[in-house]
Amino acid sequence: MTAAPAAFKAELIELLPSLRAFARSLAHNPAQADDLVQDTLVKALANVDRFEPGTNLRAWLFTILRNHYYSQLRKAKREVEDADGRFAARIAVRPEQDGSMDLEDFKIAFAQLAPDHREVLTLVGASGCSYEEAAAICGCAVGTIKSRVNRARKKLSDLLGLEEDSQGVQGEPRLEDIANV
Amino acid sequence: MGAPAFCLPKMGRKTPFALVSWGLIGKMRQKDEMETLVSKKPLDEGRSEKPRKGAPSNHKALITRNLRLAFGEVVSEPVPDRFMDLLERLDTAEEKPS
Repeated sequence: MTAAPAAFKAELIELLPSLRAFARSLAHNPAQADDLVQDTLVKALANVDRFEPGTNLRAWLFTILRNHYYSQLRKAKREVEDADGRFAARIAVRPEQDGSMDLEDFKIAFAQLAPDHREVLTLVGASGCSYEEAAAICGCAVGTIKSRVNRARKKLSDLLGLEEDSQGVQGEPRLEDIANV
Repeated sequence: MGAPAFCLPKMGRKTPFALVSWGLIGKMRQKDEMETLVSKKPLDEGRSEKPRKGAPSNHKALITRNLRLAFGEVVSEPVPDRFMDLLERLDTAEEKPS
């Protein structure tokens, strides 16, 4: 086994914060997310000779983390409809009058998305990956990433209650309004 | 026996189940049925039939902004020592055999 070159390690350390953020978007729970990061580091260092220097280390690490996450998910066979996502957080989240919204409310809605939706939104919307990079990381076509991003945004808009605002609420109070009194 | 064994009317897609009383839903259903009889047109036109394209651009911007905020929050956290320790340990473990 070859020892990791210093440059590789330095770049890896530099990428740790965004690797953690990506893990957090998949795992919800900070402890589980950091465990994912830890396993990713171990795998990355064990396979350092498979990494071609000069290629995209971030994409390589994100890919390892993602694959590891999904293999754990398959093993555990529980979380796709997972309790702290879809069911626990049935809270009517709506933006404020000025169109802003509480970040915590946003996170609650985000956590209700399916993992593949959380993943593409994080890669493309937050981490600054190109569609091509995201496609490489997720092992699918660029077109698939694009349509998945669109569906994920749409779903998130629904969860955030953004739909009505674009069309104007007509007359009748919505169920949430009644229920929240 | 947690989940209610009936289908909500379409408009209630975001209804927090636990918060809505049975009586209220009963009323809404009746009202929907009345409307169907009277108007013969799809319930709640424009509200339940969402535009099937992507989210409008102002929603996209709002979503992207919040995604970046949430991501940035984690990125700006200090990296836990355990990772640096791990890298140190793995390095020394790797160097030994050679």
